[in-house]
Amino acid sequence: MHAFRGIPGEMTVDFGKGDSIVVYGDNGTGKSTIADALEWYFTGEIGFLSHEGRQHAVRYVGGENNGVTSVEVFTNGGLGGKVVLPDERNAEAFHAIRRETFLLRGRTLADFINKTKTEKWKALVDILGLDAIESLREDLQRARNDLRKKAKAAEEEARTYQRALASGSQDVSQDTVLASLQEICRMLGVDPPQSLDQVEDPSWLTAAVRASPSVSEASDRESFLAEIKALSAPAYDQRPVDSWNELVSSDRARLLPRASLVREAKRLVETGSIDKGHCPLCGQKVDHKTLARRIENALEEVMEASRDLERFRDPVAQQADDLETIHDKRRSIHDRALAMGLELPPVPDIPHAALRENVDALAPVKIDAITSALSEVRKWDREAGKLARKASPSQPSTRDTQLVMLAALCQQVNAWRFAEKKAARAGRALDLAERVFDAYQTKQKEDLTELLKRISRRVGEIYSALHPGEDLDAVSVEPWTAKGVELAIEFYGSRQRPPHGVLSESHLNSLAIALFLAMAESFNEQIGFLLLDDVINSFDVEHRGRLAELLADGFSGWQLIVLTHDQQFFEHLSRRAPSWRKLEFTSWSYASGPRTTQYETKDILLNARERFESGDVQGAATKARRALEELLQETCEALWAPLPFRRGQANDKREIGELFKGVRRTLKERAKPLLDSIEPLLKNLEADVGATLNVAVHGSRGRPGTSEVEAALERIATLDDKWSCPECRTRVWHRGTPEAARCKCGLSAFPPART
Amino acid sequence: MSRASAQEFLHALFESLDDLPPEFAQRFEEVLKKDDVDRSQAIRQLFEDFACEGTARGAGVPASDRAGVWGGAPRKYE
Repeated sequence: MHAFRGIPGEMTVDFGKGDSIVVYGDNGTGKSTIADALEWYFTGEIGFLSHEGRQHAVRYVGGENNGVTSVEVFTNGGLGGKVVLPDERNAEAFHAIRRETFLLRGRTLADFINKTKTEKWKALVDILGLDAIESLREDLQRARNDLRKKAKAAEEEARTYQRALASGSQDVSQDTVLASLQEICRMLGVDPPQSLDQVEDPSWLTAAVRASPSVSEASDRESFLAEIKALSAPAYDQRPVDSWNELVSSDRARLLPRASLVREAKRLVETGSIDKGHCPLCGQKVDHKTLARRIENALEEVMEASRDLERFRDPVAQQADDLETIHDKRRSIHDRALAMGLELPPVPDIPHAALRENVDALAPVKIDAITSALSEVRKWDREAGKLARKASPSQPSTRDTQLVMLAALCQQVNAWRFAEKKAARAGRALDLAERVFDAYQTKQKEDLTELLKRISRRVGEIYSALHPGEDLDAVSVEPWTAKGVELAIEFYGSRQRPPHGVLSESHLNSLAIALFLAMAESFNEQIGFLLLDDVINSFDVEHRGRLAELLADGFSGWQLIVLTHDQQFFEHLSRRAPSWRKLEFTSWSYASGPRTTQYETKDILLNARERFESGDVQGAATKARRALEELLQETCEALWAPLPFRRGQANDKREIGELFKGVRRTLKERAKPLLDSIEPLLKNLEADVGATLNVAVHGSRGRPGTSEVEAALERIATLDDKWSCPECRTRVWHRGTPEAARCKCGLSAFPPART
Repeated sequence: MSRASAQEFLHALFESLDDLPPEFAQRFEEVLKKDDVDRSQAIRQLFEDFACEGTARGAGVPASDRAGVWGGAPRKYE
C-alpha cells in the first residue's frame, strides 16, 4: 500500500503463501486499512467511501498532490496486480469479482439481514449472478406478453369477420359458410364452389361468372359499347380520285370506247378473215399492210389509255367499297343500338353508289360529295361515341347486383379464413412462448429453492455452532413471492420470519456471520480468501471464543484475514490457530502512519537505498532516519532497555535520543565491551540524526549531501548487523530471554561472549 | 447451480423439455449471441417462426416458412 488511506509512505503486509492472519490493533491504529486496500483492489471502491464527496479519502490525507496512491496485491493466481489512483478500471473489470463474497465488516454486518425482502432478493440476484438469468426471463416475459396481445387481437379480428358472416343466430363454420355460398351460386346460375379453398383462388369467381349466360349478354353489351366508342372513319386519300378525274377528262379517254372495235379489227386482220384491200370497219379501200399498221398504232394508243384507266380505276373502286363498308357498319351499329335501347342519330348517306356509277361510266367523280359525306360520318361517330359513353356502364340488373354481392361475400369469406389462420398461428406462437416461459420460470424457482435450501442448511449449522443448546436452529433463507427473499428461524417451536422480533442484536449479528460464511462457501469461487473486519463487537466473551473456534477449526481450509480490536478474541484466535500469522498494530501517527509490532528495519533500509540510487537523496535521508528509529526501538524492546516511564501506549513515539540512551544504558550494564566497540558508531549516528538525517534542518538549510547520506546508510546497516547472526541472519535475541538470548543457530548470543 | 450463466441455465432448461420443435433450442441460443438486436423482439419473432403449420405437425420449420422468406410455407390442407 502506498500513500493509501492512513499510510503516508509505504506499508507491506506479508500473508505468507496464503496463510491465514489475525490482525489486532486498537481503534485508529490503521488495521482496517488492510481491509480497505483489499476492498478497493478487488471491487474498485471502498463501500463507505463510495458516497459523493468521499472518494478523495482513498489517498493519504497528507500525501503530495502528485504523489502516487497505489495498492499492489501478490497472488498465486491471476488476480494479482497493481492499482493506481485514479482507478482507470471500468465496471467490466469487476463484473465477476464483485459478486464474490469475501468481505464482512462490523459496520455493515447486519446490512443484509436488515434489508427488505425485495432488497434481499436484489442483493441475492447480484451475488448469485442471477441478473443475466433474470434479464432473460424478463425478455421472455415481454415476448410472451407481446404474443398474448397479438393473439388476442388476431382472435378479435377473426371474430369480427365471423360476426359479419353470421346471419342471425346461425353458427358460422367452414361448412355452413360453404353451404351458403353454394346455395347462392346455384340461385345465380353460377357453378358452386366445392370447397372454401376454391373460393380463395381469385380466378374461380371470374371463371364461374363468365360462364354464366346472362353475364355473356352483359359482356356483349360492354364490348358493343366499347366498339361504338372506338369508331373512327378512315382517312380519305384524294389522290387516286384526282388522277381518275384527270384521266377521264382527257382526250385519251375518248379512245377507250374504241378499244373493243380496234381489238376486233386486229383479230380479223390477224385471222385473215377480212376482205383484203378494204378496211373491216368502214369498208374503204386500203392496202393490207397499211391497214395492219394503222390498226396496230390505234391499238397501241388505246391499250396505253386502257392501262392508265385500269390503274386509276381500282383505287377509286376500292374507295367506293370502303365507303360502302363504313356506311354499312354504322347502319348495323345503329340497328343493334336501337335493339339495346340506345338511340343513335340516323347514319348519314354516303355516295358510294354514285361513285361506283361514275367509275363504270368513266365519268369524273365529285370529290366534294365524298369529303362532305365522310365529314358527316365523323360527326356521327363522335355523337354515337358520346351516347355510348353515357350509356356505359350499363344499368346493372338485379342479377348483376347479386353477382357483385357474391364477389363481396367471397372476399369476406377469404378475409375471415385469413384472419382465422392468422389467429391460429398467433395462438400456436403463444402456446410455445407460454410453455417455454413457464418452464423457465419453474426451473428458475426450483434452482433457487434448491440453492437456498443448501445455504439454509449451512447457515443453520454455523449458527448452531455459535449458539449451541440455545434451541435456536432451523435457520433458513426462504423465497418470498416471485421477487423476495426472507430469513426465518424456528424460535421455541414457532416460525419467525423475519427473525428480528425474537433475536437480540448479537444473535442477529451471529446470523449475519453465519450467512456470510455459508454464502462464501458457495460464492467465493475466485478470490479464495475471506476478510472479517471487526465483526464481534456485540459478542460476549463466550461467543467470541466460539467464533474463534469456528474460524480456526471449521474454516481451516480457507485463507482468513481477521481484523479485530478485541484483545481476548485476538489471543483466543492466536491460541486456537497457532499456525496463523499475527500482526499487531500499535499506533498511528500523521507523519509515520501505522506502526506494528513487526519491525521492518531491513525493508525500510532497502527502500532508503533504492531512493538514494534513484537520485532521491532527501527521500533516502528521511527513510534512513525512519530505519534507524525502527532499529533502535527493536533493540530497546528486545534488550528490555530501561526507558523513562510513559503513560499509555506511546512507547513507540519516543524521541530518537531517548532510544540511544536506552541502548547505551543496557549495553553499559550488560555488555560493556560491546558498547565500547560500537560507541564511535553510535556517536556518528547521533551526529547523522542531528544533521544529515534531520528533515527540519534540510527544510531550512538546503539538501543533505549525497556522500553524507550514503555514509549514514552504511552506518545504520553496520549497527543492524551487530544484532544479526552472520551465519543464520536471525537476531541475537531470537531465542531465550532478554537477559540471555541467542540467534536461531546459536552462534551469536547476547550478552555476547566476546565482542 | 451456484452461479450458472444464462446460457448454461437455458441449455439445461431445453435439455429438460423434450417436446420442443426441432432446432428451436439451437435457434434460441443463436438469438442470445446477437448483441445488436432487441432481444425480446427477436425471441418473439422466433416463437412466431416456429408457429408455422409444419411446426405444429412436428415436421420442423421449412426454410420457406421462416419470416422474411418470400412466398411462405407451401400450403397443405387436410
